[in-house]
Amino acid sequence: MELGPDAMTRQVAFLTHSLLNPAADAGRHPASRGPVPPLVSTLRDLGCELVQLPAAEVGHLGVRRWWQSREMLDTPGFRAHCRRLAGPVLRQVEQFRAAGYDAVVIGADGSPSCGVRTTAGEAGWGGRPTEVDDPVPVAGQGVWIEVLRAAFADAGLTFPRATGFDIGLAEAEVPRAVHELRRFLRQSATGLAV
Amino acid sequence: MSVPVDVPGRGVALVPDCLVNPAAPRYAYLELAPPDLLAILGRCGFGLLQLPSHVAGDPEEGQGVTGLARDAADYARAGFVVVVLAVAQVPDGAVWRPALRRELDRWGAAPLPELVLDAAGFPASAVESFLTTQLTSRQTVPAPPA
Repeated sequence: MELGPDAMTRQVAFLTHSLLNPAADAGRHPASRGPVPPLVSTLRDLGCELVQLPAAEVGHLGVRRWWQSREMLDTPGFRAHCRRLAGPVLRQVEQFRAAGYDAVVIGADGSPSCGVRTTAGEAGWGGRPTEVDDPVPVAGQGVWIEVLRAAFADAGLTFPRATGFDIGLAEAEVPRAVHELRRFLRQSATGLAV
Repeated sequence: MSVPVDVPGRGVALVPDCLVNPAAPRYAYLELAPPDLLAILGRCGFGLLQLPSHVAGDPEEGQGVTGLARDAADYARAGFVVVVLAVAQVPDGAVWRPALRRELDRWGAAPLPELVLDAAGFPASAVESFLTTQLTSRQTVPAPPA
């Protein structure tokens, strides 16, 4: 892909799918109706281009699936599906890098597939559906992010610096999350470690 | 135009990359000046399905048209309104029309409503009106008998 000759200082964010399409979220966050506003406006303010990653859960289990936990998704079948999705993403990231872009990944924290800093840990879920509480966020990454990271490693490529944004944050917590995101993006662009 | 507050988020829109990233250097030749489309989608309760860049030369880049069409067919089957936003001045509307139609047809999805926008600029109200009309018309379909 020809990205343009004057792209040397630009930044591109690869966003996990539901951050731009909450409909892919299996109803975990019913208040979210469209692209997550504070996230998108922050990225736009900093001149960041947006690339939406494939919806790994939707492609594997469909739109009507039940909520999932990390343990439910951690199967050979889902991992193989994620592996297939990873190839075009690797190529796209490398194309942006070759054009001088700083590529970052932003996941949906708390997601069983797309979490970067936290994921949904519920070892007891499975079998007959019952009324459940919100899944417990636990430290760790979702299965899709984990497979994507491994695919980069297997190809001998550096995984983009990554962080997460939690769609389900209470309104009072959003400013802090936005501040953290801004800091992450600025530091990514200047090559500093967070 | 005001967007009805009671419109639930039950829509997804297939949108070309050039409308998601209009300021990207690769689209400078189009002189795009769209309103903030992601904000419009959010106001109208529509999620985004971002199509591969039309300058990529590869419909399977990134998410890929094949996978997006399959997901779009699944959304439609699950009762979501699914629409396409295209750009007038770009071949195939910048939405990979032949590949998209072929893949939708493959999964048995009806042709999707499409709004073709002027790359030079268009009012937010035109998109909002299109999206809310699609949602409203879908909601007036009577439920099947129990």
